Amino acid sequence: MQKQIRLNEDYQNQLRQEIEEASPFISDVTPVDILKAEYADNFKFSDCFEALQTRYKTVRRLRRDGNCFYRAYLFQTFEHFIINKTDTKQYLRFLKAIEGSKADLMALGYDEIAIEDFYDLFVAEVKKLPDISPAEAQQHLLKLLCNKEEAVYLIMYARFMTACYLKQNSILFEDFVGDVASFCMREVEAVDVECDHPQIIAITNYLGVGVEINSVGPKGNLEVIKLPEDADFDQGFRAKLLYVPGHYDALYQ
Amino acid sequence: MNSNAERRLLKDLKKMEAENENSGITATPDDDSLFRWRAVIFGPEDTEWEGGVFRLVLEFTDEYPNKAPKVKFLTKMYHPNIYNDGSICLDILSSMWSPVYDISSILTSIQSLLCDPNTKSPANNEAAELFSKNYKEYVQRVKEVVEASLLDDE
Repeated sequence: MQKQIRLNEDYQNQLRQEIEEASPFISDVTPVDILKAEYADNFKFSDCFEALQTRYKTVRRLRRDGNCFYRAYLFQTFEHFIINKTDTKQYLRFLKAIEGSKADLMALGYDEIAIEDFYDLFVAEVKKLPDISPAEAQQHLLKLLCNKEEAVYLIMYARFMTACYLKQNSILFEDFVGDVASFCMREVEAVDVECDHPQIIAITNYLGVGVEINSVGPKGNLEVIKLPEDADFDQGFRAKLLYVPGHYDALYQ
Repeated sequence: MNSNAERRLLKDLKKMEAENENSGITATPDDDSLFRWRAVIFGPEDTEWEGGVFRLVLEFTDEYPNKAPKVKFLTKMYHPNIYNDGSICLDILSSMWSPVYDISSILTSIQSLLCDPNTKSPANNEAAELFSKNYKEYVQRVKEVVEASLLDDE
């Protein structure tokens, strides 16, 4: 039985490696038609596809490695700040949240040595955004967020900030997720663990950048959910995502 | 320039030196590699593990702290979650790994695992069964490895 468990682990590692080699971390922008073919068997999806197509023309596919939400969210948010240099209000709000995050985390009991390398890199990369020319946005971000070095640190720090908001506001979340500290351990801070609504509510509120999630509704209709719901977030940029169970991709108009 | 992993390992070392004089764990890197550490966990007082001196080895890669180290007991153990070869079945060392853990917290978790085994995912079936069904015999077997650990000074 011990052998069996280890074989299973080996098998899972092998599967993971195969997935990795089959797809890039973030694809180039591709016409949304590609989704139609991919989900041809899913009749609910094909019904709502036309509605999706009227809203979005292209998509960036994300690798299914447990980090797709965080990677897509960081990509679109960074991209927004590179391209829209005039959106200083939201950028400064974003930068301020990030600059305050190390103190916030330490106040919650995080050890400085565990977070500082992640924090330093995240702050440095966010501060670079205004100096990057819009023409270089794609090249810069594909390089930054598609590797096993910086990207790992940036995504992990996004997880820390998610946990930070969840813990600071534990009273709002404990009815849904149970003990917030153990939820963060299991479902937020563990490497490569997938992201669900509570995490999305947390990171978007913490950073002041919302998301708009497009998915297939229960009746086969296109469902568009905004998180956080507050109209305040409509004033600023929201990342545009496509959700199919267990996976997020990034959408473009 | 040191890699991220090396810088972090040096910080872990500093923390070990500062914090763990009386905590029943010690760990130091090998002279020739910062990526291989030897550690000792002392059996917690007032438990069946009291008096034991258990040696471990921790192996890190350049992906630390984003990947867990490999941790193994060198001392012969008898525990529901420790394999015969000394490897440890502990969630934070596999699927639940996070960079929030450092060497000190890894060893502290292993130390608490000694007295608080998880019999749902046994690595040593016999030990798991004795722990649940014949605790007295289990304690006896643990005391044997505790005694043997004192003679085991490689």
